[in-house]
Amino acid sequence: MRASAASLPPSREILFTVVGGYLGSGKTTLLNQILRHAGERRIGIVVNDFGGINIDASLIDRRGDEVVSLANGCVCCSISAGFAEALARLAHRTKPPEHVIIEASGVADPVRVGYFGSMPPYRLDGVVVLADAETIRARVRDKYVGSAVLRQLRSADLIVLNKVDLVSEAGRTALGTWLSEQVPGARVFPTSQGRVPLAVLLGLHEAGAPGESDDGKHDHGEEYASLSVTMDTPLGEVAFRASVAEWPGSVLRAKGIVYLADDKLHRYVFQLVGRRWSLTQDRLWRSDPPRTELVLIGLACQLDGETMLAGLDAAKAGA
Amino acid sequence: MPEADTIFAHGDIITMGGPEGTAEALAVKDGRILAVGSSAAVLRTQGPATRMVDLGGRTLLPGFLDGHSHFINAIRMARWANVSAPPVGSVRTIPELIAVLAETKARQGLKRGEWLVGYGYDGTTLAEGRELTRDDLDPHFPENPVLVMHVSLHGAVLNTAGFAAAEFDLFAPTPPGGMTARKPGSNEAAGLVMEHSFLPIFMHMPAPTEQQQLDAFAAAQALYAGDGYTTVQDAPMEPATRPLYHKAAEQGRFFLDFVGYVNWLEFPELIRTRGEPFKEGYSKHMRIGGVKVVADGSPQGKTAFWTKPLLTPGPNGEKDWRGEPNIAPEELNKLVKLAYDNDIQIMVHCNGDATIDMVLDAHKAAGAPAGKRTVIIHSQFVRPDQLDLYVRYGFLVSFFTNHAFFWGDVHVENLGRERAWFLSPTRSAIARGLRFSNHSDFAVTPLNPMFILWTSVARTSRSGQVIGPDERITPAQGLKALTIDAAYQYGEEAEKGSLETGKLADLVVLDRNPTKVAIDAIKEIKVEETFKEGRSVYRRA
Repeated sequence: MRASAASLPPSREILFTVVGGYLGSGKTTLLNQILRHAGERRIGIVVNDFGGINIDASLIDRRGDEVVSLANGCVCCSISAGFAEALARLAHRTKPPEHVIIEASGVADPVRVGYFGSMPPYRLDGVVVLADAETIRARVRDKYVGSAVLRQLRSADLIVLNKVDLVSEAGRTALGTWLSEQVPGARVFPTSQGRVPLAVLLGLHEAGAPGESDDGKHDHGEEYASLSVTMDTPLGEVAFRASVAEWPGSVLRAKGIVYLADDKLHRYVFQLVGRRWSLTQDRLWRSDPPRTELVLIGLACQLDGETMLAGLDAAKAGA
Repeated sequence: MPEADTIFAHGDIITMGGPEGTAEALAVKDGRILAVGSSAAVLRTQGPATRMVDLGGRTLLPGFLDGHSHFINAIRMARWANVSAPPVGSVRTIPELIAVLAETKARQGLKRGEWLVGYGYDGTTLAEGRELTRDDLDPHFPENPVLVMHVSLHGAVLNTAGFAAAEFDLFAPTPPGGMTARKPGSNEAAGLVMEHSFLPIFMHMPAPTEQQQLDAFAAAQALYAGDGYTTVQDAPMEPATRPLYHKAAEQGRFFLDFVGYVNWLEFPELIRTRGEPFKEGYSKHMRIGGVKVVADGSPQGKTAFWTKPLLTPGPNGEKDWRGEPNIAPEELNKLVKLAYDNDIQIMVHCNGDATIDMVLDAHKAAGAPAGKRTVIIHSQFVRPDQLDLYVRYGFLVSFFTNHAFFWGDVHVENLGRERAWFLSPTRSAIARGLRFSNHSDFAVTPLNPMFILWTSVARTSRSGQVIGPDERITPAQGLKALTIDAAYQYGEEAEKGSLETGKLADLVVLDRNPTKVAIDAIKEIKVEETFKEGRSVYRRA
């Protein structure tokens, strides 16, 4: 079926994602991955790098005073001239980016950076925090940066556990247990070399038509799968929210429109990035056939569609 | 003996140098001190063309050196209205605030549609006991967007034209982390917007053009010269405005000496590309002093970094909050090493003792070289054992005793008496032979060096408690931190900071002698005249 995202009207809003994590957790590698796979999407990147913009030179088209234009049409600028100013410059470009990614500094609290995502025309999509699987536990014990690193993890909507290839199977299990203790309810995407599918990270489908069934992207580290849901029967809002709250941690991202029994005139937009999700009233259905259309993205091995569908069916019944 | 251009006599002359510490007369020739000492000795330099200045009982001192401030704020604020409450400004009521704005508007000849900006607003100080609203402003400024910046710089009150110019929807819901004051019984914005409600407005504020900024250099320096400063600082220079300073210098706009410190974020790049003349002296009154790192936040904002928790919750209600550093230790270590390897002075902003530990560690990791004159800016909550290490490592400090007045009460509440009382421990530093300057951190507190001197001598808070009685120092000791020891921090003690033969004739005349007046009168002392290399750059009207 068609993804609901494609049927949303074009919007002037610019999505805003914060990428945080301590030094060496792989933020720059991740940014370079994003730029390589961004395709036609215009991505803006704001870096707070130590000693200047550190984007892969092969991606750089030319370098201006403030904004670096990248070969694929993306742009990159440095935070050092002032963060609000950098965001304003990006938003006021003749072709503003559709999605802006902020690289927070190694000790920054990404949530505070995320507050800037409430400045129109920006809308906070999510806070992604990278953790180096090999060193994260030692970092959290560090006398200077321990509390900052733990706070980063706790404030993440989505944790990208990087460099898992450097950790033994037993070590991974222990790390998983430790993470779930330190960060209850964490949504974790394990990977290596900063490979995270854009579908998971930014809600972008990298290849083919939007919403194309694309289970098992083997070229981006951990496999992920997407699951599409269409329901014509209106859902009870309370039951729907309860169902979402019960979704397993393997659901990393979801997006779509919802048909609510409580307000049949308006469609509702549902967005989920890791632990962050929202259901907000959108425009009238007008001539569109009212129905719920959701796309869920999660870890391939753990995306249990049947359980979630059962939850949504219950919401239907509750309507 | 050459003939003096000018001779000062008949007043108190505090030399800040030499065995006597005082003199009867001082002679100036070609911008330098030709003679200083007894009247008889100095008058031997008098010739037919010598101008005789009768101090008339007033006090002559070396021109003050700015231990640490942000000159860029003076550029920005030179055109703004000071709507601060006393002692920073004079505004006590809303009508007074409006009068100050109207006066600024008239003085600048603002045309219809041009922004009128005030700074220093604090609703809690107004006699009306309420916040300023756009309804207060609109009748007086119907055609100019007005923005009255909150003293915290985290918000502002706007008039209706201001909201319109900033494309601010008066009915927009308050964003997370924001505060939009509403009219009573309505969803309509009343005027005050803070934090994240303010950010979009901040983004819409028109940036001053380069020419406007260049034109403000004279007024900005006049602010400093009016307070007796002859050497001023911006640390760190914002990367975007660094070229502006060079341009101002090229155009001969500096009449005070300006020392710029580059931002740590661009320091490695500037070293690699040799982008700044770090080791050259003044050219047209400007030089690059080194690099400034901001390693933590502010104690009153609870964003400094301490080893022990505060007694009160963190900024977001956190328990056992001790703040966090603003920079990773690995990055700080690299910066310190890079500065040392290139023999460039590094100044590090540290308010909490944990951040100071990071710098001490970085110094050790870089091989603990001697003679680098590394400056810990603020150093407000330094521990006694760290003062000992400062001495061992040859570190310098720029203290910030104004905090005792402005935030001393807050510090006692957050940190308890023992820690709060060791705020900017000037007397403990003197006991160890540590040299320090004392600063305004302008625009965080006012430039006024006599107010700084008073806070170092009295350490009285707003509520009247003495913040650390044992750390009070004498006026003579406090003056060193504004003159000779500040010059030492700049590595310019051979040229500045004391009145000695051969040094630059950077001078300030005060209406009274700060070492002779009652302690509480120190802060009322006025600067009468300021001289840069013998030339008058400010004279009190």
